[in-house]
Amino acid sequence: MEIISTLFLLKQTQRESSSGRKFENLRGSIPLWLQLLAVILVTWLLVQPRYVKAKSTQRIAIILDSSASMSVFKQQITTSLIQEIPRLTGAAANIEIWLMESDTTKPKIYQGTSTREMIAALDQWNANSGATDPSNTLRIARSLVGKEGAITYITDTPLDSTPPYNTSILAIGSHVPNCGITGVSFEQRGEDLIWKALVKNYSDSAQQRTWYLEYSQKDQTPRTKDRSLNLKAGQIVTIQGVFPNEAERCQITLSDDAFLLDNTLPLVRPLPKPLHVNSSLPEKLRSIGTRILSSFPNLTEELETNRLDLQLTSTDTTPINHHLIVFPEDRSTSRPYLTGNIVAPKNALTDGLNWQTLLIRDNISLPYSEADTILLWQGERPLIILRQDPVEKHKALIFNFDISQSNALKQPSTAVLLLRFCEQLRHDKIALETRITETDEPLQIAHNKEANSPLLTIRSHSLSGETLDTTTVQRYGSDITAPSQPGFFSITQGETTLFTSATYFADTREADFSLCQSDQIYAATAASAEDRHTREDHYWRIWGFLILAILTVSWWFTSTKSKESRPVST
Amino acid sequence: MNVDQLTALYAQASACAERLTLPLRNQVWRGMAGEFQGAGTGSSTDFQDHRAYAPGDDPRHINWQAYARTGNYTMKMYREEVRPVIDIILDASESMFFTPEKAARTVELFYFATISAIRAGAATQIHVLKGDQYTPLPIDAVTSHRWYEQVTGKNKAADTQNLALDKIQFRGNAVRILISDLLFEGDPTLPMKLLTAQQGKAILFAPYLRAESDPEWSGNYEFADAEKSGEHPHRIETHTLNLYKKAYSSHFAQWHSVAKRFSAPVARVSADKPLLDALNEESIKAGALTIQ
Repeated sequence: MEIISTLFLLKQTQRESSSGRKFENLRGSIPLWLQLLAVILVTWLLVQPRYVKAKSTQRIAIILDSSASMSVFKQQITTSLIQEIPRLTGAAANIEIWLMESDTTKPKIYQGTSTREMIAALDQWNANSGATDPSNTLRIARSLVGKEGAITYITDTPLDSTPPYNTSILAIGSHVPNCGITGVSFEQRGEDLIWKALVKNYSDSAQQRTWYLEYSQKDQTPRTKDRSLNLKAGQIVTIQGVFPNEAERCQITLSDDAFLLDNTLPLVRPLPKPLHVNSSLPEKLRSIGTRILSSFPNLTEELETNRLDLQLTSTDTTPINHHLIVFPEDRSTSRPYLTGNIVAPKNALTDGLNWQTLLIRDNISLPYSEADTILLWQGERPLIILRQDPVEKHKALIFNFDISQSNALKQPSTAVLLLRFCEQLRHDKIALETRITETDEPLQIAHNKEANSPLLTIRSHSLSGETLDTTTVQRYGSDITAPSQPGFFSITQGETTLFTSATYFADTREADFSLCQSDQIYAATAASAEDRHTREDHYWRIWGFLILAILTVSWWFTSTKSKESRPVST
Repeated sequence: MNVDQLTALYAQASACAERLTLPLRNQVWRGMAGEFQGAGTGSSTDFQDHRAYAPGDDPRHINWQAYARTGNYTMKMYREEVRPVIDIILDASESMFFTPEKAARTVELFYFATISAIRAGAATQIHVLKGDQYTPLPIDAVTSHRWYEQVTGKNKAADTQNLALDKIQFRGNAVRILISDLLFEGDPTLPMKLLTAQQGKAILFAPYLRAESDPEWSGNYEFADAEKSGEHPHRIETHTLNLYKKAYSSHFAQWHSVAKRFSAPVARVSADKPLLDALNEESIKAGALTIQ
């Protein structure tokens, strides 16, 4: 501190300045400005700037949840994508985008480098699948973008566990009150076919809806009046009615809400494929035939040979004209029981069936060939044989013992085996079938598979029967599924209609929005990706040398001034 | 400052007083008899005027040449010899004593003025001002050096800058010698008016340090006023220093200008030189002193 007598004169030298005293004092100080420059350069070095490489490309894969509930949040998907792309792009100068959905059976939505085109492709996409596991698609995505690429999975329900393959999760869902049709059944009352549908309120608040039925009648589609439904939170209500006698098709429609897929229930009159059965069993075994005909569904007794599908016999073992179930008769008595291990080789007809309590007497044994499939062994003896005619492809289920001299008819396995066999025959029968299906349900349609036979054709219809769309199924390796949108469809081969159906959305997991919410889980970004897209500042050595030079000059300025003018101590 | 130091300074001032003196002969005095020409008539040998003879006048003063010419008796009138009146005002603020050099020069000037006044046979009064505190000093207190403790031992004056000259009852027609460094803000006109009131003549002696007029400041400082409390941080650079020197020069230029209007010589006396050299530098030229 210096004591002076002329402080008042010093204060007179302080001029008013619009920028304030300190700024005025700093203006003329060369060392200060040099030091500030050095600080800026040091800061620049510490920041470790990196420059984006002009040709660096970030690969981005975006997986959309294919489940139908995402249709409610389609607008949020677009908004989220627009916000997500810059974050995923990171430091790269360019991007390459794959936009896919979690259902691996669906084609990719977009691949390219334009965000705008991706959004346009997204507008054409609809989510209508059931609940799907995205793991396979995420694995495919990771293989596409490489270990340094970015993957985001967009869904409406946050995942319970850490997503695989270093995936970011973007949940865009919210609680949406929804009521929808969950299932349907039919009941025949006299000549009326009664339909019963279940309507469920998935939300946690009471909801009010209306419904009506409309059906096809000549060129019109009349409808009933709207009927109201009041559903409490979580309540399931049954609605029912008579299937219009004059109509082939009808449809139940609920009033609209956010989720539309489960508001429509198309209906057709179920008509399963019949299996025409005839029994020529002897007196001792005739009851077996009666029980089969009366117990198994969709079996009808047929007396005309040209319409016969299945023959129950004791004598014929070669299925040339039709399928056979053979129950041989042995009139000998007091034969000992067979011994030995009872073994059932792996076969769809005997899968899961227990034969260990089977007791069979050692009686008639039919010869078998290597072409036969043995379904059940006891020791070295085949008990049940499956035979197929190589030309006609008819099958024969042969019981290689007198079933009346065994406890086989008391075995549940026997009944299940017979039922399975009949169902298999009915399934393989090329005939018209009409039933209700679920959207995207895999279909096994029995059809003529000869080389010159026509291809299968799937046609979708309106309620009035008008054909809306036609798709031809390729012959080889194609899986036939019901349409992904509720409606009516038929499958034909040439002029022959093989299948007619009404399909409805039945995945209740997708109709329930109580678990939907918004959330974000960002995956750890790879530092190597940052290195790949950017380059360091190559001039860091020059900046370092410049800092030293500046500090040296600044020190020279201050030391020179301090030598020349030592402050006067008074 | 102890008695020995004061004694030494007294001796130096006394030595200078033998070489330089206050400009008292230029002044027309009134008052008690002394060695200086008074304003009225007296018994000195300096002719002043004529008048008619009146019975009882001293016939030695009859102007016989005038009688020879006119035949009338005329008397010669001579100036009276009177004692000068001097008021010495010492500015005892902290700034006058805040360095040893300046304190010594202040004391020397004070002694010089007092010794010069005593030797001139002047009717001298000594006044000490410290801010708004006024203390009259007897001459023996000065000559016995007791005055120093009285003056410098007082507490710091209140936060007033200007000298409280209005507290002094000046005598008319007196020489008023002000010993002050003049380092206070304000228009010099008012103190000059007070100093020159009642036909007074002011002579100003301003001791100064080279560290005040031409400091070599550079960098950051924490300044404290010698007369006030509080610290004042300043950053001094070349530009600021130049402004300060300019302000310093302007301050004393203003004092010179105003003093000139009141015909008062202002002599700045450097504290960095011997007293005689410092007085010779400016005082004679300014008319504040004359050579014996």
